Amino acid sequence: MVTKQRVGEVAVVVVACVIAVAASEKKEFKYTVGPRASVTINNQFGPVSVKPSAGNQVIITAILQSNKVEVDDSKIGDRVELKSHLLQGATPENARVEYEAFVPADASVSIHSTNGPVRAEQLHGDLTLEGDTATMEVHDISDAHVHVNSLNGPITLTNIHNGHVEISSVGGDVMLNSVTGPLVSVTSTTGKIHYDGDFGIGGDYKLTSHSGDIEAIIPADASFDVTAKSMRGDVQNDFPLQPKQHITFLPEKGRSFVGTAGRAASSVLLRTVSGKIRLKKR
Amino acid sequence: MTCTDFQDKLPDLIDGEAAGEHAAHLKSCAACSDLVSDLRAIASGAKVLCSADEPSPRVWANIQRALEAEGLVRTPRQAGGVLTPARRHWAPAWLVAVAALVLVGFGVLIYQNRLVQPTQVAKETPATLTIATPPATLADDDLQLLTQLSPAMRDTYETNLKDVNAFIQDAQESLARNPNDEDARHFLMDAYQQKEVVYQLAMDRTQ
Repeated sequence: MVTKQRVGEVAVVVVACVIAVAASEKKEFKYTVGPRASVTINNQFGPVSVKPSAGNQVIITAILQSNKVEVDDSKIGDRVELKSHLLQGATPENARVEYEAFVPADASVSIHSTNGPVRAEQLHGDLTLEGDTATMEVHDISDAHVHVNSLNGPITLTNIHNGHVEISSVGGDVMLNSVTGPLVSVTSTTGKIHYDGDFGIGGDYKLTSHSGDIEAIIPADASFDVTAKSMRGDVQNDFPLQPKQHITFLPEKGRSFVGTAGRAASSVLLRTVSGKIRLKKR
Repeated sequence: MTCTDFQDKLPDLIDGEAAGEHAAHLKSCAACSDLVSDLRAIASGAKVLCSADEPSPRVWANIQRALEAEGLVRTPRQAGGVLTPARRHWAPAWLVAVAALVLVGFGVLIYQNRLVQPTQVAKETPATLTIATPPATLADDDLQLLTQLSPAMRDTYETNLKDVNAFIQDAQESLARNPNDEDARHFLMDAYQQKEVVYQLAMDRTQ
């Protein structure tokens, strides 16, 4: 009796899987583009992954969860745009589309996804990511600007160099690992900001939050000057800083600190209203 | 010479002229130069303060104690204290009092400055000083925006709007308390940019 019931359950699962696979549809889009092309993917629900392609080809695979969603595509000049088009009766579940895109490494890429996740890697064209709750992972980007706007999704950037990095996250935590450039700016309301790296060799780093904690872990040989202020939170410094030659404000014990390390190549500003700030030596 | 080194000698420099490396620092550092100018302005402004009432002996005693506590003056050898005014010469004594208040104030600032050394770990701030984040509210525009979103998204956006509005309100209050506070101004701009992001994302969802 138990065996029959078990077989029945398995059969139901198999049938459900078959129906799901049968309902889903895989589409492939291919385009040939020139240098510095622009690729935009607008996906309401589902993941988007972007990797470099070998040549001047844009190849995008889309797996549509059901017939409640379709993909509109267009190519005008070197601008490619794909968009999930929700149809009557669409829900976050049945309107899910999985995109996997291969684009020329120098292409500018713009991705919008409500719940993601979104992943981009090994590119050197400008990158713009937007999402609501989407997890965002970006790594190995160089010589390009990275802009991320998010509500609550966690954001992780790894090995990003030589470009402007501007992140605005309302509630999602932001993790920066080995991120350097002429401008690195992170603004958060309630999300935490974590920086692990050496602050490069000459750039402006601004990490700002309302109530999110800010933590930076720095190697001993880093070269930067830092100003850290929390209006209502605590600040803590474990890094051996030298006093600055000139200061524009008098630090308040437990609320702020200033100092330099090495030749003070980069400028670092850590600022929060009520979060905690911690500067640590790796 | 750093600003901290310079400010260690600040009390000696208010009335007199800076010399040597102090003079060099004063020339090269706008912040310290402004500070000294301000202090001298206060001292000279005190000269025009007209008061018929001589401060009570208790005021002098308090100033004396404060200066001693900060280590800025030594305990007087003679009874009566170094700051005890001669009744016939109230004006110079009044100036001394103003200068003493200035010194006490800067003594406190310098003392605080010394405590924030690079390798030092800040102690916990008393909980009584913590101000709670203002209660989050929604403006009419926010409510209108929310009605245009699908029910599945509404909660997420409502929470984020409330958080951002609390950020804005906090920054506005800080700026109202300290209109010249650059940080408060930057916080306010950052807060509005965060709200702009929320609106921008929401508008994308309503199209």
